[in-house]
Amino acid sequence: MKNQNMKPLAKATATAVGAAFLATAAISSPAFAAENPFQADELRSGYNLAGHHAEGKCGEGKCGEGKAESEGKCGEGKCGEGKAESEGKCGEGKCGESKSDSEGKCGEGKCGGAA
Amino acid sequence: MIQKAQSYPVQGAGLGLRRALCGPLSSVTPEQVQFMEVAPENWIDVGGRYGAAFREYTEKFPFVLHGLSLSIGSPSALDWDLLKAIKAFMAEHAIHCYTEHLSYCSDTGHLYDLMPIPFTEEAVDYVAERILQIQDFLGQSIAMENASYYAAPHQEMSEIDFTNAVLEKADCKLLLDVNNIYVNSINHRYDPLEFLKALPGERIAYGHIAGHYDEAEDLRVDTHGSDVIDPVWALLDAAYEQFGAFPTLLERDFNIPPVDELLKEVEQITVRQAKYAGQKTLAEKLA
Repeated sequence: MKNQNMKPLAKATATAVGAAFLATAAISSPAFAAENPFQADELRSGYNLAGHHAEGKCGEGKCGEGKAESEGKCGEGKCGEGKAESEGKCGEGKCGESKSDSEGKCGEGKCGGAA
Repeated sequence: MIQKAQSYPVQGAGLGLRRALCGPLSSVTPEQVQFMEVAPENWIDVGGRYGAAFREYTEKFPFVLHGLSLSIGSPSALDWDLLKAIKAFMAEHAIHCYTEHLSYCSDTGHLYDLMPIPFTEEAVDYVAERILQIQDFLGQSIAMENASYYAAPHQEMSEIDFTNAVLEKADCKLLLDVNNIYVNSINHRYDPLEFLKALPGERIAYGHIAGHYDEAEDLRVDTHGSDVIDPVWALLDAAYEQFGAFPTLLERDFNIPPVDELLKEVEQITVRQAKYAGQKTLAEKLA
């Protein structure tokens, strides 16, 4: 039976499987990247942050389980330390030792010593 | 040596296995990662390709279980169905160590977060009694993790006194989470080294290390979503210096980097363990 609507889906699946094999070329296991959309989310011991925090931008939906291997989307540049810190109002990257004199960004009440 | 060498359920440096890591980690060897850990809730009754993959991993690596939903501090009765399933799961995969959090996550329903148990004498008795029941049922000691917390309701005693009282009364093991000490020490303003040194080293089963999120200068969140930072590595050094190089596992729940980067962090554990392996611990020096 021919069903026009099935075509894009079949194509998308083939692409996903292809990508999975590319990403895991040296691996004998099945293509885990082709996720079952109906499976339950994993429980995690780490605290879940909601909304505008790091996870909102780089959480599971984008960078978690299904796409752990897709560096381009979830590499350090986007989700790693650099960003996590810069997002904070007074994170180490801005207000730590090396820049303790930058009062403009990290006023007295917030950044200790030098301010 | 005067002191008896401590026996641990696993050895070396470990890495938490997540579904997303099943593919990427499949060529990793036990020389690189000496043990793995999973949450039983995520793997019990899982069949198909993940079930098959898990079997491959448990045949290749020593495993520990790190539970998430036992809810040791909950007002509700213990979840005996879960405990039965865990016991069977441990037998099925030859896993000899089960750990949980010193927290709770449910009452009549599940909250999907680890909530703080009030630091009270009453709670010590209550929690210790439940741990004893679990150990009796499983026929072995379990290890409890010093959990991260963001509020301390009805606090009558310090976190360290509460933690030690529970471990002592339940005569159970400790899962020493170094990142949690760091995070809690900032959020609740105490000295992480003092906390660390007050822990009963002889009860350590293994340790955890992880990255966290800087919400603010005075608020850190235990997310397991970024790399381990230097002050937390330094605290692990201090822990090894104090208690010896106990087995330690890296937890990474999301923003998972490529495997080679993860393995570099695992290797950092190994390097530190090697550094402290031949040394006398502080406790031994003082004895």
